Amino acid sequence: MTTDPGFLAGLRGLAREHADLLRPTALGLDADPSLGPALLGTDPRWLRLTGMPAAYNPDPLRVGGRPVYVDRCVEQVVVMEELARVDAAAVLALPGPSMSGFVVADIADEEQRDRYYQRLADRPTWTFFGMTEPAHGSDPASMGTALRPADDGREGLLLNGTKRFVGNGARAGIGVVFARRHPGPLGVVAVLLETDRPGFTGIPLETLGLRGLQLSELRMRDVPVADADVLGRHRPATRGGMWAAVRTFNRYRPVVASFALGVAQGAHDYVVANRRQLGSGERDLLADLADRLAGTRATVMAAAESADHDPRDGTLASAAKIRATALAEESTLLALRMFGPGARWEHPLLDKWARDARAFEFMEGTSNVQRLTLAQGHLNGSLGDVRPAA
Amino acid sequence: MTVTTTRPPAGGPVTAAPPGGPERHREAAYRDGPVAALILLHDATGPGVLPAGPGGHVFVPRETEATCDRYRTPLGPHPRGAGTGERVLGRTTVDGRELTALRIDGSGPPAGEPDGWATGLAWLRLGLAERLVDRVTEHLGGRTVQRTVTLNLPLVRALLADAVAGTTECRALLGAAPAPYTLRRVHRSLDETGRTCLHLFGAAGFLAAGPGSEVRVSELLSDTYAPAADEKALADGGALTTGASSADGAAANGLTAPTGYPSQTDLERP
Repeated sequence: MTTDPGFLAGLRGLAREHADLLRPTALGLDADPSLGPALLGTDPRWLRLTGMPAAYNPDPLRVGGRPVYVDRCVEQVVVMEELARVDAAAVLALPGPSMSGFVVADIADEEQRDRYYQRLADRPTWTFFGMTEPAHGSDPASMGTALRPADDGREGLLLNGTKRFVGNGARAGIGVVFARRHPGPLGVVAVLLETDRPGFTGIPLETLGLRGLQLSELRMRDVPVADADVLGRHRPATRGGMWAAVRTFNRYRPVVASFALGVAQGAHDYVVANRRQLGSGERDLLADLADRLAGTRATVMAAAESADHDPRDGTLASAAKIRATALAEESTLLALRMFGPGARWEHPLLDKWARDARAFEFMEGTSNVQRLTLAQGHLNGSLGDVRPAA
Repeated sequence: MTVTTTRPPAGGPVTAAPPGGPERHREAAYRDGPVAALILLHDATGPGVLPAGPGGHVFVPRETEATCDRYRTPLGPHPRGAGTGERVLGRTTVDGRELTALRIDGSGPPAGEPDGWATGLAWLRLGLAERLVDRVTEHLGGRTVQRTVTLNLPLVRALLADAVAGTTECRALLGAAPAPYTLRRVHRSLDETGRTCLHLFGAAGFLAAGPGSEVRVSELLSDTYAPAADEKALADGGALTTGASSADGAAANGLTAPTGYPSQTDLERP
């Protein structure tokens, strides 16, 4: 399954036009992340880029007259890379489905889907994906957040626990929280939750980069949950919360890679646009960087195609994230070096991108975690290779 | 962790390849090694003509060199013979078979887009790299460190993953239409993969009789034939970002985009 390159080129060009809208806000959002809703929440056109399904998206993007819902991974990586070339933080700070949308799309019933998407369609709404915990990261086996029956005579369930490093958590209106309902690997469920419920608190965390995303801590103390809030309750446990989480990670890692790639490309572009005199050594460095950008872009696209083809397999997604994460860090640092002493003061956008780039290392798994996944995938034959033909 | 030793047929979207295309040189390299694959590639793309790289160098199997009466120049094949400034730079042996390196004044690749030799050579080197990765996997799967299979050590797997990431990138790049700058990246990435595998082989990779000799040949092919840096590609910021059109664009989608920092390139030579 390979998407028509002409279509993707048209989509890329369109995304580039949208990205230009983010230029004036990049540094302001970095200085004050609380401006996110004011800067990004007032323009309904952003919703067209965030993967809203057709039933809730009456005004989709159009490429060659064809409606595009940006709901396939190949579309998302193209669009997100172009936006991230200008400001990855702003893109991650857009209202819309984001990661939780993958879970809803995979396992929600009709009522849950409508509850989630209709709210997003009605008004600018930020969403969250609550998986990572302060003491356990995103290790499901150690998950401490619990969903248990109320033991004080009340009906329903109560949610207790803390999630950390949750993007947009403090400004979100609805999202998905993962919690343990039963012991064992299949006991983790995904809960669809509005943030105005009693006992739910979202607190922004001060970060060094990607500040517009406003990573947050979610604290849940006896938050009331109904059975109707449990996503996938109509499905077997083997196709429930953890199943959807794994698929979400496999589909989102190419997108994270596209963010990193966009930041790397942005840094390259900035040097090309603003350095007038380049020595031959510097030209060589930039040429190498351009080559790596092209190679990483091809890898990200292959990972996205693989994710659309089979979201159970994250092998290529891991490869893409390893490459793009390293490239983002190296590219932004190289760009700073090319402007000499004081570059971080004289070029605050570059300084911001260098700070932003460091986030991709920990988003959806560190590079070492990706390496273990990639190595195992290779050993399992997930990548396919020349051997069967030999 | 378990090491899987049998693999399912290739099924991912990046592996599909029509028979008879340049991918067959990958298969030949994987199956038969560098010399046999180079002979096949040469016979398929330019029999009788020595392929030359951008520096005017040739690196081919001895028997290929012996059968060629012409060499490539940017303007077309030219007869070998007296007055062409041809000289032998060295000879290399791998698996008991010899390759010859030459320099021929005025030789070079044809102008324009990569031809069959350039494209096939990239695929061929990919096959060598994949063969190397599988060899090192087998090597490490049969060794132990403190009763743990070496291949199952996380740090070893991390290095293996870096090698696989390199071949993955190359497959992705070659899956698209190759251009000079993408082929240059393919060669660089395969060079990195080779070095990573040598680290994994340890001293075994340092022996001339071991897998290091194939890495050496592969590196020499890269050194000889990798395209030179391209100023235009540099200014464009990488191959795949160019050509993006907003013809359907901004107006149709209700956008009026402000401009930010300059988008024009202004690279100047010092």
